[in-house]
Amino acid sequence: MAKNERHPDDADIRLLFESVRPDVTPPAGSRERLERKLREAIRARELASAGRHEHRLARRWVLQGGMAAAAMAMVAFACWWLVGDGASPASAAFGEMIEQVRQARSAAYTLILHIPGRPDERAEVLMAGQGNARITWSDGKTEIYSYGNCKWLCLSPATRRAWLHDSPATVVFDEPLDALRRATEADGELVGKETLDGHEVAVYRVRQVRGALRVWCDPRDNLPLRVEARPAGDDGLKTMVLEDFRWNMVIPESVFRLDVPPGYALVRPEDEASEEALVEALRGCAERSDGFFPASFGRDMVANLVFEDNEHTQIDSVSALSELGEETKRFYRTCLSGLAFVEQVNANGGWRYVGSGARLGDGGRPICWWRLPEREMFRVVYGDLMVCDVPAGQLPQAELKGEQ
Amino acid sequence: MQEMPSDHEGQIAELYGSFYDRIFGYCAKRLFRKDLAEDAAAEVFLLLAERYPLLRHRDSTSILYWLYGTASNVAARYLRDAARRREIASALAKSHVASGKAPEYDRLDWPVLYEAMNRLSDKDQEVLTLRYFEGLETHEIASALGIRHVTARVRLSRAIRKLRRKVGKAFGEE
Repeated sequence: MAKNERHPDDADIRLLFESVRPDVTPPAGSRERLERKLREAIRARELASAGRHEHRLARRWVLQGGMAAAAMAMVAFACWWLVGDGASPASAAFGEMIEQVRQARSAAYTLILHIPGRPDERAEVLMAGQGNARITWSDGKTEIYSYGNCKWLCLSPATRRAWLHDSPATVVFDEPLDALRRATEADGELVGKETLDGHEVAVYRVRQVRGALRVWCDPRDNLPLRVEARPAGDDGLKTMVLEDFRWNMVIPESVFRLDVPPGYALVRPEDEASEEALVEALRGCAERSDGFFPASFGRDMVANLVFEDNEHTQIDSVSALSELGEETKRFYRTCLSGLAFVEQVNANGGWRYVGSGARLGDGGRPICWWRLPEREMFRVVYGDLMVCDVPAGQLPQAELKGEQ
Repeated sequence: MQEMPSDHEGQIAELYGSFYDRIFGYCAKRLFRKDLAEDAAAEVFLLLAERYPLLRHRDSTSILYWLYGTASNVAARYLRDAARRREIASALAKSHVASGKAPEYDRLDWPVLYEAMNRLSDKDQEVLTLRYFEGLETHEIASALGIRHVTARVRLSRAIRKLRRKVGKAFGEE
């Protein structure tokens, strides 16, 4: 961990903590005890998974009609039921489905975003493992996410431009299928049966913190045929539908490659760096921070704001970025261009951000400034986002308290 | 074709090897007693094993933040438990008797600082411990506790002010 940050006026506190030396070495045998527990926990998890697999096999034997197998399966089922985890048959079937989702190597599906007042948006999604996704929107725009590499590539066929962005490492890859992978048997509730594509399918409601899922499960392979997600906190008006699933397809690794295709120009944030981008980025940051300028203006803060937006909509990562769509992406790109501008003007020093806590619209409060090349003048951005040239001697020293 | 890594156990063992001492240390600083810290650290790593399929794409720093955040929650739960609080109070009393000397303001001993910290809220204790014992920057604390950077900074500032008051009172200062 870097240790160069100093919190203002904390020297005495730092000294207090440095003066005490709590003995925090683990007691003898502590590591070994926990290692044992960990091994047991992992084994128990594997056994539970194997148990569910056995139960699944038993059900298939019953369906095939072999009487002996059926009898054995019934006994196996009875034993599993009696000595198992006490789940109801409905939750057991739900458990089988989530296990199948967990074991799936890949998923391809059609994503439909329904937001009231806007035309539905559709996309084709390819996912492999839990770390790669490729989303192709109906207008041809394509997004490739690689969470392992913390990268995100956007391609616009209309403009033949490509953007490659970093995504914060602290963001967990999460979308409706991931919510299913994370669910337990107790989270699912059978709400009925419906006919879908000519087959009778079970419909489950899945409780989850970030909203509600409804899953239509194909009895033939115990995998979802359709998933409907309604994020919490938006009055249930916004809906995301995942349908036309193709599970366990072989998806070539190349579709998730973050290479810029031939004929596309890679747009780097520095290519779009400008004072206007900085001002727009500051405006966006303040608007997303309840009308106040943030404590700092940097890459981490911007990433936090973008991904916090996702939390506000209660959907994460792929789906959130997809849904928040152009507005969030434009904001993110503007911020990156604004930050690139800051790097440029700060090449020989002279950049200051003093906007912490200032209210958007406060024309009397400077937010940041930078030195104009070869002049004893500074460009100052004020809280109302006016930009003025100010002589060095007139820089607002009194505001330096909040300086980053 | 993307393959799911099959060696989760090996990866968890590696994380455990790298971070156990740190997480145990953090729990010990929050809970004072090593036996409680051992139980809490065990809970944290068992949760890691359970949630690992969702965390495996994170880098090790991000997983360390996750471990700190989880340890904070587990420690807070332990501190809400009356029986455990009594055990901690009894251990603190014994340690005062054992040390037998009055501490000075700028050279506190651990039990006195712990007692002062213990009078603060869980959230204040978390940020102070993460900042000054674990050496995390405020943006790292924000990542560990799942809060905004600005919130972490404000919380730390307030915790510092409160701790000053508590420590000052312990030495009869105004």
